[in-house]
Formats: sequence, structure tokens, C-alpha cells
Amino acid sequence: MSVTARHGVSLSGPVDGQPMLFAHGFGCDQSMWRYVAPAFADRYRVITFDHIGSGGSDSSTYDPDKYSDLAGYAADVVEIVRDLDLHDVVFVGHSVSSMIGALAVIEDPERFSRLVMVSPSPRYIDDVDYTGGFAREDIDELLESLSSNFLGWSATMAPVIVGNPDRPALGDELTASFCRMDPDIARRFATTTFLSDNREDLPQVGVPTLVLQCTRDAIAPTTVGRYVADTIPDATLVQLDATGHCPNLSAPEETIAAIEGFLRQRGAP
Amino acid sequence: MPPERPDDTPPAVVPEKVLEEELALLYDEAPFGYLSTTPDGYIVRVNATLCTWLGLGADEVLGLHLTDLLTAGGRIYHETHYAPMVQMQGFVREIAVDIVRADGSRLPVLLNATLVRSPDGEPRLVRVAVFDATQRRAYERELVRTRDKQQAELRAQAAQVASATATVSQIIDAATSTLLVATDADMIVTHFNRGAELMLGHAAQDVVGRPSAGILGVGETLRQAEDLGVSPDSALIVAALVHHGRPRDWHVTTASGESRTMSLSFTEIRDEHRLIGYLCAGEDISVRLGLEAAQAAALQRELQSVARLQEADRMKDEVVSTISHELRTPIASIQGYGELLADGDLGELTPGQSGAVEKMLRNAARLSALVEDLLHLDRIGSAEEVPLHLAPHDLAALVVEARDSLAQLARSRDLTLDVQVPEEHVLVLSDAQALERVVLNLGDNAIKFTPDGGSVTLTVATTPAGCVLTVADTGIGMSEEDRDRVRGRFYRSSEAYRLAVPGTGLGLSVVEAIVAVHGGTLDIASTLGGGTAVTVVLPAYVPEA
Repeated sequence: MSVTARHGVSLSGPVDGQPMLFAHGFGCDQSMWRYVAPAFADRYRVITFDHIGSGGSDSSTYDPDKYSDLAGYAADVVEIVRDLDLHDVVFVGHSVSSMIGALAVIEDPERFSRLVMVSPSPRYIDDVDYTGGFAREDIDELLESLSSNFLGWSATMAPVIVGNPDRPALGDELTASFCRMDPDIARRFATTTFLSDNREDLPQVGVPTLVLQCTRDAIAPTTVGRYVADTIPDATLVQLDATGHCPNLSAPEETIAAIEGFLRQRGAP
Repeated sequence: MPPERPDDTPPAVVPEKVLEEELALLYDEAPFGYLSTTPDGYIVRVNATLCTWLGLGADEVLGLHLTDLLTAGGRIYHETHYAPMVQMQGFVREIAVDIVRADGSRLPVLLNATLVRSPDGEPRLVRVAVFDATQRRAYERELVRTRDKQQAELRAQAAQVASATATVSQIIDAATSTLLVATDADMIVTHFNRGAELMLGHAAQDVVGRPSAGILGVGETLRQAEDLGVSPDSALIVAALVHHGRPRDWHVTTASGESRTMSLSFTEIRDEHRLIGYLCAGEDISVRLGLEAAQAAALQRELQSVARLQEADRMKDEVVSTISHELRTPIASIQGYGELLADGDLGELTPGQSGAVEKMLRNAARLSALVEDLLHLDRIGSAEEVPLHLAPHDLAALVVEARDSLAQLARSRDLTLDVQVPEEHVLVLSDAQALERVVLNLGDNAIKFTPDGGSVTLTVATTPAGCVLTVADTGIGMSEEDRDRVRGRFYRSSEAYRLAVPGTGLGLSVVEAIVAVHGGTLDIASTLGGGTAVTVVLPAYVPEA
């Protein structure tokens, strides 16, 4: 199976346009970009994809070892970029994919020209002189919540309960829904994401970077957004009016405008 | 089909005001929590049930964000799943989260949410229904626990099975001198052990997963089929081989083209219900067959040479017997005429002639004794009834009589011949002629093997064991090894050869044979250079009262 098929890569926009690669965060899939990505397809070559284990990706290629570190996901991004032979890439990552993008840029700086980080956090757990917003117990609670969540486990448990694993009674409806994910992979992805600490990678990001920070984000506090913008050498922080963690869904116009402003300011088309 | 209302029953009528009150009560006091939020999650309405669950007044709840009611983990889940789905698909069903009550305790709930849009399609509100999932969550946890426990048990069982399988595999592979080939029911090879690899010359990886037909050679398989009387169909052949039960010899050509003979047996592998495969087990018997053939050939050669030797022995006996008989008459004639000459019956002899005749007679006597030995042996050695003439004879008297003959032999030698006999008779039931040969032969041997200056002593005695004749000398003696062999016919001790003592090697064997037919025993005591003492014990004759 090709790299693009493995990741359910979808392409739109002019073939010779500057590539914009959109990466989704933990939870859902590339449909997270449904209100934002199309706005760029008139000028840019727009590429969206699913991380392995999410959306329409090939979960059979999920490797727990590789994906126990965000570097594993970053390696996939670099592989996609190389496979499609993309250059001068604008990488737009939401949530954890902001950091995955940063790692990909560090990994292969020649291919990337811009980094857009939507609601990023280099570390979710509080540390000495650092406020991530969560305690270690909170993350365990999230994992517990994932395990006991209907979306998480019922799809696989229901058939077990009725004693017929071959007949996914409730699974059909759920897999047709958004945010579908193998519960085991979801749990592992959550662990990798919320236990990550990539603060030391930030100073190595060598491309102009935009940090989009929402108001009242339950996952990434505003202090974290400032921290990211302050630590990356060439970064701009834009504080959005949008609330929550997903401005790409709740405030697509504001998000698009911020990204366009950034790209224009940096001499983009 | 909806149930029908009877036509004559008018619909129940309740005043509008009552219904409105009822609606408000239903919203507030339903067994579910209800709340409404703005599209980005701020609570704008909440029912009394949820306030009761939270332990907060409605005024305290209004204006909070939905995530303010949740645990930290729940907040993340809200941001990563709940909010994106409400925004993308307009609803969520049964999101499991915990809400935190005013007292800090937690309540497991399920959230159902629906996005309400304004007529122009703009998101306006989110309606959220909250179900108390305490019991359900407990059941779910119990189910998960049960599942995890079962999975752990299954894993443990699988590990046990895997371990047992590995052990069996290793045992099978360790059997390098035993061929073990297993197939499934369709005769696809499932296991090909080290022994099979070594004997057939195929690598397991080349064979496992392929049909077993042909591994043992198509020609040989057909030959076996013919031998078993079944048509050349692999299913029929294997059935016949299994039915046959015992190992059969297969002539197999190995991968390297070598011909081997294998002893193979075939059995079915069955689980509780059905046939699941076949097992072929066996060993390479080529080497063993080769050894057996070589042994059989050697045995055959041995038997042939034994037969030849027996024939030669028989012919020798016949020749000896014939010659002995033929010699007797001429020797008797020589002795007769010699005695006539010696007695002067044919005229006076000069001293020279007399000496010559004496030598002639002495040698004729030796010749005669040899012939008698041979004839005795012939008689005793043959299967026919020995014509012994048994009568009581006095051994002492016999020895005294023999002394003269022996003295004649010892005369030319510087030997002391001593004979010691008791005064009373020593009666032995015997053949006189045979018993005389015993005495003469033993005495003759003693004289021959004793150098000049030595002595020969013949003793007769009666003991509780029987009548005893001892012939002792101070001669050359013999080794222990020779002592055991001199009893055999024609065997002469190495000392006899070394010192060129004349003789045939027959004397002692004749004695032994005679003693044996008289029911006696013969014992030889001798050391090399230390003389020899031969003791013969014969049963004493007891006259009937």
C-alpha cells in the first residue's frame, strides 16, 4: 500500500500551487479541516491526511513502538512530503499536530517554508516553572474516560457482550460517524500526546511560525501559546476571539483570516 | 400500525394552563438533567434535576461553561471529541464523562447533545440531555473486568498451549535418528522433523505447507500400493498403510540421489471428533540391513568351512582306522618273525645280528603300541557301541606286570623307575587290554619327558574316592596352557616340540577316553620344569555279596 493510501491523503487545488499540508490532532480526523482547508484551494495545493489509526488510515500498519513518540508521527509527515515530492510546504497542524509539524520541520528543513500551529502545547503536564494546565492524574483520568467511553469501547464491546464478535451491532453506526478510532490506538495516541514534552525542540524550529491561540482553551491555556511563540525563534502569536480548542471548527473565518494574514505578511501569494 | 382509539370515546381534554404547568414540571423534574448551551458551550438554561445532582442552584450554574462541570480528563475529551462532533455533525450520542458535584464527588453521566440552528442555518444553541450512568457505568466496568479477566485467562491458556507445543516440537526435532512427518487431513505437510531432514535430504522449509505426495518417491509409493492391493489413489494408499499397522520397508531415494531403506509406519492423528492428519514415523534401516546381510554371509561361510572340516575329520578317521587295521597284521608278522630270530629258532645269531633284531623288535613294539592307540581312539571316538570286555581286574597286579615293559623302555636311559603298590588287590571293573594301555601310555609319557638322571614313580592306592593310579615324574613339565590342551588328540606341548621328544600326541587322549568310559577321572598336575603327576581315579569294584 502506498504512503498516500495508507494515510487517506486527499489533494485539491492547483497542481503547481504552493503546498499546504493540514494535519489533524488527537480525537478526530482530517475532516477537522473541512471549513478551513477549502478556503486555500484556489491558490494552494491543499493536502489533508489522517494519522495512522485515525479516520480512513490503514490501522493495520499501526506500530505501537513507532507511535509511542511524536517523532513517529513526524516521520510519517516527512514520508508523505517526500513521497509527493513537495517543496516549500506550509504545514498547518492542529493541537498535537502543531508539535508533530515542528518535529517534521526540524527533521527535513529543506522541504518546509512555514509552520502554522493551531492551539499548540509542547507539554500538557505542569512542571517546575511551567504551566501545562494538567497534572499527571488528570491524564490518567482522560485515559480512564477514553476506556469507559461509549465511543471508545462500546463499538468493540457490544458484540462481545451479545456473544457474537463477528457481528458489530453498534459498530456500523459509530464507524460511520466522525472521530472514529480503534479504542486501543486512541488510548495509545492519547498517552503519547498528553505525556509528550517537546519544549526543547521549539528553539530548533527554523521556519517562520504562526501560533494561533484561542480564548478559554480547556486544553492549551493562553500562557502555553505565549510560551510556544516566545520559544520558537521566528514566531508570531495571534490571539483569537474564538473559544475552545478547535477554532478551525468553531471559528473557521477567523482562523482562515489569521493564516492568510500570516502568509501574506511573509510574502505569500 | 398505531393502536386505534374507539370512535365513540372523545379525546381526553386537559386545560391548556395545566398542560403548560405540566410541561414546566416535566422539564424541571424529569429523571434526566437538561441544559442548553451557546454553540461554544456556555450554559444558558438548566433544569432542577441537574442542579440537584450538581448540588448547585440554577443561578450558580448559569453562565458556566460545560467543561466547568467536568473532570480534567472529561474536559480534554470534550475538546477533542464532543465539541468537534457537535460542530461537524450537529449531535453527539452517549458521550461518557464524569461531572463533578459541588462537594467534589463525581457522577458518571452520558451526554446526548443536539445543535439547534436558527432558520438561516446559523448555530444558535446546543441542547444537552444528561443521563445518570452510575449503574450503567458499574455494569460496564464489571463487563470490562470480566472481559479482561477472560482475555488474561485465554492468554495464559494460549501461552500454555504455545509452551507445550514448543516443547513437543523440540522433542520431535531432537529425534535426529527418527523420521517424523506429519500432515493435515488433506495430506499437506505440517511438520518435518530434523530426523526426516537428515534421512530424506529435504529441508523442512521446502516441504512444510506442500502436499506430502512424492516425498517418498512416486514409484515406490505405487509399488507399496500394489503390494497392499489398493488402487494408486493417495487417499486409498494412506488408508491402507494406516490399516496395515505394522512398519513396512520403503526403498527411498534421497534428495541427493542415494538409495536408502526405511522402516516406516503410518498412523492417523485425531482430535476428539475427527481425523486431523497423518503421521509417518520410521527409521533408516539401510545400515542395519547391510550389517545383517554381512553377518548372514559370514555365518554361511563359517558353516561351509565347518562342514568341510567335519568331512576332512571324518575322512581322516576313516584313513586312520583303515591304515591301523591294515598295519596290525604286518606288524604282528614282523614281531613274530623277529621273536623267532631273537630266540635263535632260525639259527644262532651273531651278537651284531642279535642287537639289530632287538632294535627291530623294540621299534616294532612301539609301532604296535601306536596302532593300538589309534584303534582305541577309533573305537571310543566312533558312535558305535564300544566293545569293552569288562571284568574285575587287579590294578596293582597290572601295574607290576607293566613294570617290565616300561623297564625295557627305560633301560637305555639313566632313569629310576619306582613302582609302589599295596599288598591287597585293587579291583577295578575294567577291560584288561584298555586298562593296560592306560598304565603303559602314562608310563611311556613319563619316561619320554623325563631327562636322564630323573625318576618315574607309579603308585597304586585305594582311597574313599576310588582306586587311584598316580604316575609322577621329575621331567620337563608343561605350562598351564599346555596342560589344558594335551588332553586333545595329536596335541603336543611346546616343550615336547622344543626338545624334539618323539611322539604322536595321541597317548594321553587315549588314556582320557579309556578312563572316561570306565567312569573315572583324570587329573594332571604340572609346572614347567617341575615335573608332571597324572592321577587317574577309577571306581572301585565291589563284589556282590
